[in-house]
Amino acid sequence: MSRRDEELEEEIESHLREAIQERMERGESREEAEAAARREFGNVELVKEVTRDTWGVRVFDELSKDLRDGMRQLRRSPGFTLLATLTLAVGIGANTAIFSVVNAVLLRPLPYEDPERLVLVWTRLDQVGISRNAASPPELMDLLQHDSFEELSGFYESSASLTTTERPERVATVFASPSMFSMLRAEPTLGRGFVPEEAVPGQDRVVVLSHELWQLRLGARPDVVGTEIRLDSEPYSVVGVMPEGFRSPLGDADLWLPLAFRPEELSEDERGSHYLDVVARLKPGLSVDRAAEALNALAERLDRDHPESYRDAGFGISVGSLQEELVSGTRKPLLLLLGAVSFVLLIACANIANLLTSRAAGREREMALRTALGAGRRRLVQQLLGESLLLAAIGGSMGILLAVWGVELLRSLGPQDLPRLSDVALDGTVLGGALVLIGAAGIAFGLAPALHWNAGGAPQSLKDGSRNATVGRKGVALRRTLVVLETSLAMVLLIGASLLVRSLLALSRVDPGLDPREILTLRVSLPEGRYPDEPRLTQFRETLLNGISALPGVRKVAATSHLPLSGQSMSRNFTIEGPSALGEGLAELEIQSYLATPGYFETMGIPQVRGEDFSRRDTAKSPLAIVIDETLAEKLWPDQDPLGRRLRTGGLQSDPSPWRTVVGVVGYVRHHRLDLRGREQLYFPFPQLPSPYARQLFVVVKTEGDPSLLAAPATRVIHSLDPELAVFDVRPMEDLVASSLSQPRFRATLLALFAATAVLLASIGVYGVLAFAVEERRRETGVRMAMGARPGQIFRLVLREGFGFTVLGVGLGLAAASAMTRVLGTLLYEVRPLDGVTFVLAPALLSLVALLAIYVPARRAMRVDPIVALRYE
Amino acid sequence: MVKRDRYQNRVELLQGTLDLLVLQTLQWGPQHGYGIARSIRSQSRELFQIETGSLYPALHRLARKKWIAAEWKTSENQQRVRVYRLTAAGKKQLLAQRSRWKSFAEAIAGILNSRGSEVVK
Repeated sequence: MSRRDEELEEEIESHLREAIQERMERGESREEAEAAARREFGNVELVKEVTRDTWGVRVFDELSKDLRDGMRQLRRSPGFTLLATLTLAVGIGANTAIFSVVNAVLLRPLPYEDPERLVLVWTRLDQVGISRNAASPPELMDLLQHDSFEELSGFYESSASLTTTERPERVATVFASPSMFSMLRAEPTLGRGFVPEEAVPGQDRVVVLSHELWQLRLGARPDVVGTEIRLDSEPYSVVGVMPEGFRSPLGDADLWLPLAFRPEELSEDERGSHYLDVVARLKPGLSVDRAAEALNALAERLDRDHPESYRDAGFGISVGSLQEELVSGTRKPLLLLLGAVSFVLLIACANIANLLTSRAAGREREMALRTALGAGRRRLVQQLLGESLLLAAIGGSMGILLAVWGVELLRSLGPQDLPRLSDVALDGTVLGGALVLIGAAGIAFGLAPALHWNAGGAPQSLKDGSRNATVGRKGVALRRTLVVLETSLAMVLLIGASLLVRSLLALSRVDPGLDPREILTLRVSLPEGRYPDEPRLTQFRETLLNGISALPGVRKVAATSHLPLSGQSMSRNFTIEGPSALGEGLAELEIQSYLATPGYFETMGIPQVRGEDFSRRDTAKSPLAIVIDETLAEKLWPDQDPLGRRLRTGGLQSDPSPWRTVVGVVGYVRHHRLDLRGREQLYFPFPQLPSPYARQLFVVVKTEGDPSLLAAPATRVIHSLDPELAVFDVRPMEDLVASSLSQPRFRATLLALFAATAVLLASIGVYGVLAFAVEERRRETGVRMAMGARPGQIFRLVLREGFGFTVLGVGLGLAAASAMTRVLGTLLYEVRPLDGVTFVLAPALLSLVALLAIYVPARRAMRVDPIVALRYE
Repeated sequence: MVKRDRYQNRVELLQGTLDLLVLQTLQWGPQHGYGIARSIRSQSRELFQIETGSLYPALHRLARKKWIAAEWKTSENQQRVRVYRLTAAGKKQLLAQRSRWKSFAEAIAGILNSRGSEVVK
C-alpha cells in the first residue's frame, strides 16, 4: 500500500473519530454515535476509490500495486515460480539465440550501400545438369560489355604466403576487377583502390590491404601505402587499406589483388574455364527479373556465337539478389530452426498458462470476494495480467541472459561455412524482438486464467461456498486443450528431429571411399618464382616426402593437388579413344581430375581395384600413365578390362594432346560432399601434367597414433627446405570428414535439443494437469474408496484419463507432422519425410514419457486415505 | 461499476459549486475534512448535506491543483487530523470563482425576474 493510500485511510478514520466525538458530545452513546457516523459517512471503500480517482496517476498506482501483489503471489509459491520462470527462460532464450542467427544471416542487409541493387551472376549448363557454374574469363569480358549493370566485377579466391619479418603466414587473397571498389561503394581509408590499368599483366603487382591485416601484421603503419610486401616471395606494392569491417562480398580476404588476364587467358580455349564469381550492381530502377531477361538474350547470342564451346550444353546466364543467393542454402534450415524454437516457446507458454489457470482456480474465492467488494472485472483481469507480466519479465530476463550464452555457443558450434556467422550478435533488433516476444508471452499466458475466470468460475464458487470450490468445467476444458496442444507440438518437433538425426546417421555411415583415420594433412603452395619448372617441383616434392617419411611415427606419406572434402576440385574435358560405351570412335567427357604422388591411394586408404599405382618411374619423359576410378571404368568400358585403354586431355575441338594409358583402377571417393555422388574421377602422376595445380600440394601423412602430434615436426621439415613457405590447413583428415557433416550435425543437434525440451515441457504439462485433478478430487476419490473401489481401479481411472488426452495430442501431432515434414525434403539424406520407423518410434517415445508423467499422480490418487480425505472436508 | 457512475455524475453536478464552497470555507482558517463538511452544512442552514464521496475527491482535486494545501496536525481532541488551508493561488481562484458565481447568479436572477414581469403584464 502506498503512503498516499495510508494517508487517505487515516484521514477517513479521523473524519469518523471527529464525527463520533461530536455526536457523543451531543449526548449520544458511543455505540449510537459510531453507528450513525458510519452510516452518515457511507461506503468507506467507495469513498477511497473515488478519491483515488482524482489522483490521476492511478494506472501506475494500480500497476505497481498489481506488481507488488504479483510479487507476493510468486513468493508465496516458489516452486511454481521457479518452474514457470525457468520454462519461460528456456523458451525465450532459445528463441532469442536462434533469432539472432536468423537476423544476422538472413535479415540484416549486406554492409554495402544500396545492397538491394547488388546481384550475383552465374552461368548454367542446363543440358549437362549444372545449374550453377562460375564464369570464365572470356565470359566475364562479355558480361562487362553488357548494359544491365552499372558496374560488374569478377572475383577469384586464392591464398598466398605473406613474408614479413616473422615466419611466413598464409593469407586469404581475393582477386577482383578494379571496379569492385566503386561497385560496392567502398573507399579505402588510406591510399586508393585499383585503377583499370592495373588489370593488365605486368601492372598488376599491387595490393589493397584489409584493415585487420594492416593492424595485425603490418603494425598499422600510417605510411604503409607505397611500401612493398612479399607475397609468395614476389614484391607487391601496397596502394590502399580498406576501412575496418569491410568485407569481400564473396570469400574472406586479408588482401585484394587486381584480376588481370593474359591474352591467352581470354582466348576461345578458355571459355570453358569456369572459376570466376561475378557480382554486379544493377542499373538504378532495373529489376532482377528484367536483368534476367536481358541476360537470357545475351546467353542465347553467346551460345550462337561460340558453338564449339557451348555445343548443346544448354548454356545460360542467371542473376539473383546477392543477399538472397549468399544465404540461399541456409535460409531453409534456419527458418526451420526458428519454427522449432517458436514451438518450444508455445509449449512453454501453454505450460505456464496451465499452471496459472490451476492457481486461478484455487484463488476463485479470493476473486469472488474482490468482486463483491466492488472491484471491476477489468481491474481483476488487470491484476492477473500484472502477475503474469511480472512472471514474463523475470523469466524473460533470465531468457535473455541464457541467450547471451546461447549466442556464444552458436557462434562457436555453428558450421564455419554458415555465411556471416561471425556477425551473429544480440543487437538492438534481436533484443527488441525478444522484448516483444516476452510481452506477448506474458499477455498470452496471463489471459488464459483471466478468460477462465471471466467464463464464470467465480460467481459459482461464491454460491457454492464450500471450502474446496471445484473448478468450473470451462477451466478444466481449457487446461486439457492446452495440454493436448502442447503434446501435439512436441510430437511434431520430435518427428522432425528424429528425421534429421536419422538422416545424419545415414550420412555419417556413408563410405567416403577413403580411410580418414590417423591421417594428418598439410598444405603448401609453391610460388612460380622459386619453382619455375617441373624438375624443381619434382625435386622439392621428393625431398619433402622423404624428409617427412623419416620422422618417427610416420607410416606413409604422399601428396595430391586436390584433397577430398577440402573444397578443392578440378574438372576438365577429355577425349576418349574408341571404342567405348560412348561410341565406336572418339568421344568427349568431363572428368574430375587430380594429381597424385606414388603411394597416395595406399596412404589415403583408397582401395586399388585393378592394375597398379603410380611409381617413381612415371616421370615427365616416361610413357603417360593415368589411374581412373571404378565409376569411370564402369561408365566407359563396362564389363571390359580398362587397363591399357587411352584418353587424352582436351575435348574433341582442341588440338590433339598425347594419349595417356590407364595403368590402374581405384575406388570412388566422395570428393565434394558426403551426400553427393559427383562426376567420375581420374588421377595424373605429378610430373606428367604441367599445370598450375602442380604447385598446390596437399601432403597427407599416415601416422601411428594421434596425427596431430606430427603437425609440428612435419611443418619443421617443410621449413627446413624452404623457410619462406607458409604451411597451412594443417588438420587431421578426420576433421575434414567431420566438418563436411557440420551443417547437418548442427541442425540435427539443435532440433534434437529443442525436441527434447518440448517433450520435457509437454510431460510437465501432462503431469501438472493430472496432479491438479487428483488433488482436486481427493474427496471424490475418498468417497469412491469408502464405497469399496480398489486402489487399482482408482489408478486405472487416472491413467485412462491421462492417456486419453496424451493419445489425442500424439494423434494430432502425427497428423500435423505428416503434413509438415515435407518441408524437410532436401535436408534429408536417405530418409523419406514419412519415414515409417520415425513415425512409429517417435510417438512411442513420447507416449512413454507421458506415461511416466501420468504414473506419478495416478499413484498418488491410489494412495488417498478415504478417512483423511473425508475428514479434511 | 453502476454505483461508481452515479457518484461521478453527482461530483460533476456539484463540482463548480462544491469547489467554491470549500475554498470559501477555508478562507476563515485551516480545517479538516469533517470540519469543512460541518461548516458548509451549518452555514447553509443544514440545506447542503455534503456527501463524503464528493467531499474527499474535491479536497484531493483542489490540493492537486495547489489551490489548497494539506498537512497533518493535532486537533483540539488530541487527534491526528489532516488539515487543509487556502494557498495564495487558492485565494486568487476564490476571488475569480466568486465573481464568476456572482455574475452567473445575477444572470439567472435577471432571466427569472424578466420572465416573471412579462407574466405580470
